[in-house]
Amino acid sequence: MIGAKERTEEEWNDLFNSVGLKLKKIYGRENFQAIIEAVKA
Amino acid sequence: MIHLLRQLTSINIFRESSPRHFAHTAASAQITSPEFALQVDLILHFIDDGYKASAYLSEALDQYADQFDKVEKKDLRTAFNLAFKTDMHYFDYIYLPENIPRFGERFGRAMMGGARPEIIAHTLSLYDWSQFKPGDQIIDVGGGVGHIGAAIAKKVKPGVKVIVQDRPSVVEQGRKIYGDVIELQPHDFFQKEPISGAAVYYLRLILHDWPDTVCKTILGNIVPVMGPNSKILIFDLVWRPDDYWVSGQSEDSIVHGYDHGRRVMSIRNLHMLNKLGMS
Repeated sequence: MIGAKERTEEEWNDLFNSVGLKLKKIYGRENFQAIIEAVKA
Repeated sequence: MIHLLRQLTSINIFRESSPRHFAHTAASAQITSPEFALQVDLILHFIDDGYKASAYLSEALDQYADQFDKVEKKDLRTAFNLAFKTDMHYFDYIYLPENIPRFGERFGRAMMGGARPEIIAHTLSLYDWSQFKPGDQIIDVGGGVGHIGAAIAKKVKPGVKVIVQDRPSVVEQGRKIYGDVIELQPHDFFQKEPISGAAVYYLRLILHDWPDTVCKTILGNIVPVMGPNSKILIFDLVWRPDDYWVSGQSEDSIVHGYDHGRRVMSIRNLHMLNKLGMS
């Protein structure tokens, strides 16, 4: 899959925090693409 | 056409069996197989949508780069807008009634073509979908025609409901394919999420299409309806500084255009251009 608007873990975290979420866990972190789990902060 | 076909023979796609007569090779014959049909749609999506936009990359950088990460969707402008001479966003444009047959429906098939079974299996294997109990709802937000939702439905316990949401015409297209496996619901993720308290709101390769300003709107439409046990699952890129060349960045010269210019103004990419003395 072609990459796009890329975000680091920190940038994902910042995005989540800005909408009342928090990053809980990243699954498959070693992969090019991963599953990012976020829950309410 | 003859010239194009002859060019392709140099990479073993078609052969010139006699002067100005061309025949399939084993490679080109793949195009005719039913299994390849969706790949054809993906290729046509690249060519007919993306490569046209890519021709306007430099103009788009000049005109829009400094605004890309700051504006809301209505003000977002990219190479696509210049190429197609419209102020509409790509996804609004391709789902205009008159554009659905050529662009909209093809986009749905192209996304299916880009998600081959082995890719879907791998990406879903990253997460334990069996943890959900009967009655739980998994919402595939912007899930297209439902090809991923249908795959998730095979991995969850009986009684777990998978609901795919997308634009009305996409839902109509998806119901013809997956309507007996999953529920498809018309919904625009720029409106408030209609299902409260779902176990999962799943966004697969959605947020990579949008700058942060717009992503906040998309996520902000979901957060208020989340229950105490709801979670958002996002399948997307997690970039690492040490994998610059293996995380898709090497494709950017194409991507910038392919992706309708939406990705053109990544600040990091502008930094890269600066380093190369190209800005």
